[in-house]
Amino acid sequence: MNRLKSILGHTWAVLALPIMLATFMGLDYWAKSLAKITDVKISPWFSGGEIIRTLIRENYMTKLHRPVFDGLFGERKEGFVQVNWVSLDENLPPVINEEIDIDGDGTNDFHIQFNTLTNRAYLTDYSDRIIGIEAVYNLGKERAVRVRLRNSSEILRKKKG
Amino acid sequence: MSKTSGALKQAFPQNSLLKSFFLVLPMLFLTAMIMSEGGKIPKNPLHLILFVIVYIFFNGMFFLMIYTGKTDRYRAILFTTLAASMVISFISNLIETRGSMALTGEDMISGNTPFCHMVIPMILIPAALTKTIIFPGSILEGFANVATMFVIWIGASLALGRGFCSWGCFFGGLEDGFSRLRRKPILKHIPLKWSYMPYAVLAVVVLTSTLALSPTYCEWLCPFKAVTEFVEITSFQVLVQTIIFVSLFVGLVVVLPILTKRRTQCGLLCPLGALQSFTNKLNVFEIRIDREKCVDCMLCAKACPTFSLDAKSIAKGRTRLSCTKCGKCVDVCPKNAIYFHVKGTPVGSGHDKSRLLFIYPALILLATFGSGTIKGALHRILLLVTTGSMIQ
Repeated sequence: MNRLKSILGHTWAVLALPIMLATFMGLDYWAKSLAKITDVKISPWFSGGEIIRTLIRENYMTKLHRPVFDGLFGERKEGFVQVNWVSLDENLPPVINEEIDIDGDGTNDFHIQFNTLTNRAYLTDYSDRIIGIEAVYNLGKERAVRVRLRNSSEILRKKKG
Repeated sequence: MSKTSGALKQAFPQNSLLKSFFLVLPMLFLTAMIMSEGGKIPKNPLHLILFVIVYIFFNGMFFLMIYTGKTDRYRAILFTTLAASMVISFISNLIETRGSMALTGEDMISGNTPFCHMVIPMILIPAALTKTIIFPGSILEGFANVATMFVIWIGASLALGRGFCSWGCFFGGLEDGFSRLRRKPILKHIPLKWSYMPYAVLAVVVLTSTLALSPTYCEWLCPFKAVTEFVEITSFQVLVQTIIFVSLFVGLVVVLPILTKRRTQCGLLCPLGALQSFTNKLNVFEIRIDREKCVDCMLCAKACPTFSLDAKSIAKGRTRLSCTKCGKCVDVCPKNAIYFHVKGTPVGSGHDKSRLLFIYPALILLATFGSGTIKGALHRILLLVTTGSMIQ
């Protein structure tokens, strides 16, 4: 048993150098494999969540992300929805007016006016789901806004209650 | 043999010059391959000169480790240089590409935050439960992406266990450097119970990060934001967070290491260090104490930068779980009673072989992290000298 332990110990110790070398020499391969095997993504709380709708306007494009309420288990009471505007030519128009229907039910949930020169956004809400503007972002040829939301299931629960 | 080498030979247990040269040969080849990224020698004369300087620096230090038998003395030079270079290179690059060290909301939602290994303990449970990484970086794209850093951490942990903290973690190098500024400590007694603090911090940040789905240690505590990047101050909360991390940096990374001659952030706060300690259980390399030779002088316990030796552990002939395998205790022991050991192999023999088996992969980790970083920093310093600015 002691001999076996000794052989195993030496084997691992000798392998430490190849492990270290293989780690760095195959770094891209290992990293891609790890990403593929685990299939992890950046948390939507940081990335903004997947884009669910893209609307092509005259010289810009509107990208609507899915509402983010993701919790550890289930959903949170509050979250946000992110809207991005991407220029299709040189610049975005000075003022963007956009009606947003978050869930695609045919009813607009809020109107947003985004001044791309001052980087300010003005919100008009049409629904009690909307809490307010969380943040605006200047991403160069792109602008984004995050609007804080109440989870609709939470609203329903409150109404029932 | 010259007078100097003769004096060196008398002073330390060591290998002969010829044996040392042969033992360094594989490292000469491996570091050449790593630094040249598989044989691409820089064509630009300046880059070639920097390449040669850094190459000689790493291999010179490795040669001295082999020749003198001292590990920590030369490791510390490399490690501290890596840390100082990291700060110079990283901050210069940030200011060049981003204009500031401050991280904006735009950088975060674009996934442009370099992933740091300190985040690893906080992302594991949320990744397992939600299949998402709670960090504003990128999985595969850009500099220091999540997958790449994770692979390096796994590889280094398999090969070295918590040795990662003394041979790879550029943040630890800062404290290591500051802890060597004074010859003797001013604060000598730190109650050992404080060394359990990192495990408590680990438990708290893992729990809070999992519940908040956000890396709470990075947001509230990480002292190294002071020398890398930090969230732009746009609210009172961020101001409070900034005051906390700057205070922790000054206290635990600069002042206390100078006063105690210990790596106080690594030993008293770091949650990744606490997690790394558990990898020592799996890793095959350890530090052992020969009880027959040991005279209980406690020099090793006084020298240990991470509070990993105490009377109890010395009596057992082992270090505590938090050992970072820096080799300082091995270097300071006047009786040569402390040695690198491969688990499972007979105790009390093969010290040199075990040490060699450990320092090869350890130096590969240091050289891979360090060579590009030190070259980058030297380039920035040259820019500063010639143009008056580190920024191009």
